[in-house]
Parts: sequence; structure tokens; C-alpha cells
Amino acid sequence: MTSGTAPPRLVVEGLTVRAMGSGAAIIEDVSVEVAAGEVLGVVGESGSGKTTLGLAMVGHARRGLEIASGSVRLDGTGLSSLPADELRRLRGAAMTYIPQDPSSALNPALRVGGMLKEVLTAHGRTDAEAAARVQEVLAEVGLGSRPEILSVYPHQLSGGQQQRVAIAMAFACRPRLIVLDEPTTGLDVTTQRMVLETVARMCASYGVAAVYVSHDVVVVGELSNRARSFTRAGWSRREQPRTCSAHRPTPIPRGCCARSRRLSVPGAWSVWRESRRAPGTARRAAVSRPAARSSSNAAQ
Amino acid sequence: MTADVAPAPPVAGAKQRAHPVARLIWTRTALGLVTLFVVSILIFAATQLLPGNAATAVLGHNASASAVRTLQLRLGLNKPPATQYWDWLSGVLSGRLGTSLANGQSVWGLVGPRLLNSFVLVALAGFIGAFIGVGLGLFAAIRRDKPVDHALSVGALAVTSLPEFVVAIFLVIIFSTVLLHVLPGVSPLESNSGALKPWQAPKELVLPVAALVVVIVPYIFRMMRAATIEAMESEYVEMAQLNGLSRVRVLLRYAFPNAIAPTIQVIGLNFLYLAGGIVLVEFVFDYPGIGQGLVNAVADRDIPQIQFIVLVLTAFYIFMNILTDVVTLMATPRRRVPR
Amino acid sequence: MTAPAPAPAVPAPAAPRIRRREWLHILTRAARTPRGMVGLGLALVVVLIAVIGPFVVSYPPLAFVTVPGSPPSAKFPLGSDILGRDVLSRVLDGGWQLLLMATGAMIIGVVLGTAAGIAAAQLRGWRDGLIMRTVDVILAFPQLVFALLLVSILGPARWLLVLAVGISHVPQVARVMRAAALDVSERDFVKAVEITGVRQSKVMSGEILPNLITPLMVETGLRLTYSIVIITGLSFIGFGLQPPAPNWGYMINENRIILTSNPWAVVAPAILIAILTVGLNLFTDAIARVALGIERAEKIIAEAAGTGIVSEIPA
Repeated sequence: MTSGTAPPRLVVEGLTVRAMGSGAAIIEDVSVEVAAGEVLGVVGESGSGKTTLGLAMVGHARRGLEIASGSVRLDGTGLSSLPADELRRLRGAAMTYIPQDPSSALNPALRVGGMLKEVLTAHGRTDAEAAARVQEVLAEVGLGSRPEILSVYPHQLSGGQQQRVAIAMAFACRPRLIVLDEPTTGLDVTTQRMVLETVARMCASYGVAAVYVSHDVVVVGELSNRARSFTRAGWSRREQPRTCSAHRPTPIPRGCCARSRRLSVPGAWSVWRESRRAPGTARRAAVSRPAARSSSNAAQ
Repeated sequence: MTADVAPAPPVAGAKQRAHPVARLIWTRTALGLVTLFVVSILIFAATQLLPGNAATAVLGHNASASAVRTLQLRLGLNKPPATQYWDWLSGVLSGRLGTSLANGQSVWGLVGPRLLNSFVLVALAGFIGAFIGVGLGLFAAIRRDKPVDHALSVGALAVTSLPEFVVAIFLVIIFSTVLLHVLPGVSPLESNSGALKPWQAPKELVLPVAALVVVIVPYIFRMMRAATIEAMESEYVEMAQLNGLSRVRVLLRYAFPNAIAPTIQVIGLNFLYLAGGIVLVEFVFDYPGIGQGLVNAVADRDIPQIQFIVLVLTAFYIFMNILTDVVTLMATPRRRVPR
Repeated sequence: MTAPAPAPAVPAPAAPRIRRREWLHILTRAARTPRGMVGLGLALVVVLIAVIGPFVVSYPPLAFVTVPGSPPSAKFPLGSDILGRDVLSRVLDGGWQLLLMATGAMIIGVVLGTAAGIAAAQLRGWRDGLIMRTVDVILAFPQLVFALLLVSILGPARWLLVLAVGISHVPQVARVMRAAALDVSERDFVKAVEITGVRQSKVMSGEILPNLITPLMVETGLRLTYSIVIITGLSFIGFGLQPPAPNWGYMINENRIILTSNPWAVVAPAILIAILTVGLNLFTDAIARVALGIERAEKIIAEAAGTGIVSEIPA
């Protein structure tokens, strides 16, 4: 739900990503908006293309894929029309990405401190500013208490610590948009909890627009203000499945919403199912399903 | 501030950092020395204890019995094998290498200058080859699947596995004898005096070094290219791109350091190869190194020379093996620094 | 507690499908790739020349037929060599012995090396260490130097050459096969068979060996190539096949002096050796690619680096 009259930060319209060789669509005609301070959850089965969607939201397509049509706009700026170096300036600074597997996403040849500083200096901070900011953001993710953290290599850290480094890297330049791709995969439950709390806290305090991609319905439900379910063929609609009848939409089970604990995220927590809109039409009023649920949650 | 949930593993400090490397050096050196010891026994056994003993081998089967006996006494062949071996080994270790059977000069006098010449050859060929191989590999990986890449890859394929003496001969044909007459086909460096150092006659080095370089570059090129491509397709490079780092930076700080580690191993293996490769190449160019020395010594059945040169070559081999493993380890933080 | 069941009631996990004559299958697939076709073609051309050559010579290879060092003419298409013998005839007759010896060396190296490697992998413990350390001592010698050492004492007998080169291959083959065998024996289906109490040797021959086809084939190709390189190299310096019998290696050396008057005496055998080694290597590369995929194959060939040392080839 948008806060006040501010325009949505991220606007995706009619986005289609195809494989370059076969032309097969990985995601087709997807539209969504995310406002500042909001967390959009994207739930889907494995292979439904949600990682592709997440990457496309920061203007990136993996090798062999291309953004065939549609647009992604960050604060009004269309990403696909930007020249390469403009896009590079935005990446890492205005829009960032937290990967699924930090152990392979962090450069094994660089020390943690250096990696973090590099992102900052590549986006215009001076050495001193960068160093100070690195300390600051590491403290925010809970790694600030040990100074040695700057001089270790990624493989020396635990999975949870690695993920927190990735989170720190993503928040370092105070981005406007963050895409998180299943950042709790492979972590044990307690560490998952901790990572999620960190993410929730920082999203709230930074006021970023966040997109949380996952297959884990419960997690997404807890974290996001809104959740969208995502199947192979595109967004799901609760009542009418999408054209591909072979894929049934994956509804977020009602039961789990009632059972899961509510994190303290500002704004009413609800599951919002939105039908696909034609571009340009006004947004439909939010379907406030949660009336029944929020009362049971409020009781917790 | 959120506290750590799991007890944090101790972060490795500077003191611990040296351990895997130091440990590797100690164990491998110890193993290397043992291997060298066994190798020396093998060399000695092969040259002095085999049937049709050394004296007959030198003098030929038609030599008179008394001549053979005299030589046997002179070589100490009547003593028990262990004593002979010990005499020889202690001699080598203390610098008394004996006299050449072919011309009566001291072995060290004959082989010493050759060592330097060969060393220069190996060092030049190794480093130049590594430089070119790494550079080309990087270049091909960046221009992947473009015509340049295909041309280089096919070129590497065509040249790879050519015997080094064939390469040397082709170079001689092209550059000094038949097509062009630019470079000398035979080296004028005097072996006995050692007066003329290799670097004082650079023209003589060009073709031998070129021959060796041509043989080793394809391997280094292929590995560097493959490793760089693998690095460029890795998740951490994608992450760097998503963080908006420039192409140059991604290449130099993310792709290159990770691609160079396996390539270093191949470079080391090629240095190993050079120890054997110089034999034929020096022969072709009449270059006065230990390779040529070995061939001459074998032709003359000059056992002390053979023993010493083979010992030097194997020692170099063992040492380079250790050095390669150490440098590869240092280039791979994941193995160099323990968790 | 009841006695354990005499035989597993649950079927063992399915062994990966090994087609019959898997090796043939890999070979044919490799031969269909562009790389494989070129390589096989090149190698076969030279092999044919070497094998059929001796039967189609126009002049006896040892006969002095004309002025030494004369350039190509109608009677002598490749001219004459340094002693006045017909180069073409000598070239046709100069390859078969080399091929035979190289093949022999390859077989010795592969058979002994595989035996050592698999034995080390299966026996484990101190026996494993013993076998590999022993074998590694040979690894300390450059292959050419090893052969030279033996030749310097016993003379350049053909059997000695084959044996010496073959033995110098053993450490490398042993390493590769041991690593592959270890890898395979860790897999579940082998453990399942072992649990049923089958004898070690049967496990080795029945389960492990068939799965080592890939490393075996790649190593065979590499060993054959290097055998040819070393034996021709030894012949080049005069310690291989002895003159006056024609052999390509020695011809290159003895005719260097007349390079300016008749380069063909040197160029012809050199080109043949070059084509053979390149072709064989290309085909081995094709085999590795077909069996292992491009990236791994690249790395394996790159590591082979002339020393022939590769750390491991996956099974």
C-alpha cells in the first residue's frame, strides 16, 4: 500500500524476459509496483523465474537471457534505456541485490573490508568516508564488535556472517531499492531468524523499497507488507489462473498466516492479491482480506 | 544491535596465517630430500652397478682384461657397492665431483658454466612463456567466442604437443637457414671457458628461447583462458557487476586473482618440463648448457658427468615441484588461510 | 535379535548405466566432433603412411642411389639425403618402427600404471602410500632424461627404449587412475556391492574398472602422444633407433647439414611427426571433451603441459 501520495519507487510494467536462443519466455508480461518503505514479497515454486524477475528489477539479465519487452523504472528512470555507465552508477548505490548464496557470491580472493570499501569508493566516496561508512554499516548488521572482521576472507566466516556481510554491502550506499533473493537459504532456523530481523529492521530504518524473493511462503508472509505469488506463467490471480492452464496458481495458505508470528514492521500486515492491470489504469483498492487474521494476530 | 546467534568461529589472526604454508614447505621439503636421496641411489645404481659394469661400458667389450681392471681400480669398482655410493655421495655434497672419464678434466669445470647457461635459458623461456601465455589467455577470455578467440584457440591447438626438437628445427629452417637468414642456427658460445656469458651474446639466445616458449605457451594460454572464463561466469563476478564496479576492476580484482591460481600450477609444471626440454633444444642449437652436456656425456659414456647432470636435473625437478605447490597455495586464500 | 538376512532384501542402488562397449561409443562420438575428425584424420594419414609405406618404396631405403643432397627431381620426388639415399623411400620406411615402439611403451605405461593406481586406491593405508611413493621416485626424472640414463649404460636397444619410456609413464597413469578409482569407490553403488561381501578383486574388476573408462581413454591418448614425442626425440639425438635403418627422428638430425641444398630431407619427416602428434593430441582432446565437457577437458589438457602430469581426470 502506498504511503500518502508519493509515487511508487519501482514500477515494473509488462516485463518479459526471454531466453536468447530458444525465445522461450522465462517471465512474461509482469507488472508490479513497490513504494518506498514497502516490502514486496514474491513467492514462487522453484524454477518459476522469480530470480530472473529479481535480477531484472535491478536491470540485469543473466547470460543467455534478454529483456524482451516491458519496462522497469526506478523513480521514473527507465533502466533499459540507460547507457551502460549510467546503469553502473545506479547499481550498487541506488539499487542493490542480496544474493541467495553468499559463499559463492563473495570474492574468495578479497578480504571483507576491502570488498565493502570498494563498493563505496567505486561510487564516489573518498577513502575516509568509505572506511567510516563500512564500520557504520557493519555495526548495523551486528558484525561491528570485532575489528578483525575487516581483514578476513569470506571463507573464514560462517554462513550467517557471510550473509550479513552481503546485507551490509547492499545497504552501504544507502540504496533506494533492494532486491533480496532467498537470502536465508541454507541457513539454520535461528540464523534465518536473525537475518530476517536484520533485514526487516534495516528496511524500515532506511525507508528503501524492498523486494523479497523466496519459495518459503511463511518467511515471505512474515516479512513483507504485500506478497505476490508467482508461477511459471506469471503472476497468479487468486480466482482465475493465468492462461497456462497447466500451472495452477500457488495460493498462500490461509492457515499459515494465522499461525505465523508477526514481526514488528510498520504498516498493517496483509496478503494482497492483485489482479493484473493494464498499464495506465488506476490501481484497484486494496482487498483487505486480513480483517479476520489481524485480529487473531493482534491477540498475540 | 543483534547479537550473534551461533558462537562465532575464531577469526584467523596473523600468526595462524602462516601455518598451512609453513607446514607445506616443511613436509614437502622433507619428502623432497628423501626422494632426492632415493633418486641418487637409483642414478648411482644405474650407472655403476648394472651388469656389464661401468668400466666395460666405457672401454667397450673388446678392451683387454688388464685395461678393464685398471679402470676398475681407478673408479673404485672393486669396493662394496655401499662404500662406492657413499664415496660418490659425499664427494658430490662436498663439491668433489670427480674427473670426467672422457677428457680428464674436473666435472665441475666442465659442467659449471653449462649450469649457468641452461639456467638463463630456462628462466628466460619460463618467464617469457608465462607472460605471453597469461596475457593471451586473458585476452582470449575477454574476447570470448569472437574471431580472435577462435584464431588463438585453434593456433594453440595446432602447436600444442609438437615435439620441441621439431619446433626448433622449424624455427631454424624459417629464421636462419632456408627462408630467412636473420638468426644464427648454431651457438658460438664456448662451453669450456665460460668466458662468454649468455647475456653477452643475446642473438644466440633468441631461437632456443623461442623454441621453448612456443612449446609451453599453448598450455598456459589454454588454462588461463579456461580459468578466466570460469571466473567471469562465477557468481562473485556477477555480484561485482551488480554492485556497479567497472569492467576493468571486475577483471583485475575479481576475475584475474581467481583465474591465476590454477594457471600458476600449469606455469610451474611447464618449468618442470623445461628441465627435460632443454636437452633437445640445446642439442639443436649447439647451445652449451647441461642438456647438451648430458647428450655428449652419454655419447662418451662419461659416467661422472652423467651422474652429476642427472642429479642436478632431478633436484631441480623436485624443487620446482615444491615451489609450484607453495606458490599455488599462496595464491589461493581459501587454502592458505584456515577457517 | 534375529540373525541378519543372508542377502540384502532391498536391491542395491542402481549402478550407473554402463553401456556395453562404452569406450567404443565415446570414440565414435569423439570422431564426429570437428576437432575429433580433424585429429583422427591427421593421425590416420600419418599412420597409414608409416604402415603401408615400407611396401611401396621405389628404392631400397638403404641404397645409395644418387648424389648426396640433390634437390627433388622426377626420379626422386623428395631429393636425396646426406648419403645419397632416396628421401621419399626412407620417409615411407621410417615410421613403422617408431609407431610400434611408441605403442609398446604406451601399453606398458598404461597397464602397469593402472594396476598400481587401482591397487593403491583399493588397498589403502600404508600400502597405498608405499606404492605411490615408490612410483613417485620415477616422477622425479624428466622422461627423456630417464630414458637417456638407462640408455647410457645398456646401450640403445629397442626393447630398452620401450621399457624405459613405458616405465617413465607409470607414475602419471598411476596417479590419475588412483584418484579416479578412489572417487568411484566412494560412490554408493560400490559400497553396496562391498557390503554384500563380494571379494575385493571382483569388486575391482566388476564395479570399479568399468567406470574408469574415461580417465583410461584420455590417459591412453596422452601417453601415446608423449611416447611418440620422446622416442622420436631420442632417435633424433642418436640414442633411439639406430642408423642406417631409416627413422624419422634421426633423419631430421643427420640431414641438417644439407638443409640449404635439400631441405626436404629434414622437412618431410619433421612434418610427418608434427602432423601425427598434433592429430593424436586433437583426438585425445575430443575424447576428453565428449566424456567430460569442455571446461574440464580444457583444464586437463592444459595441465598435461608436456611433463604429462595431470592431477586428476574425473571418472
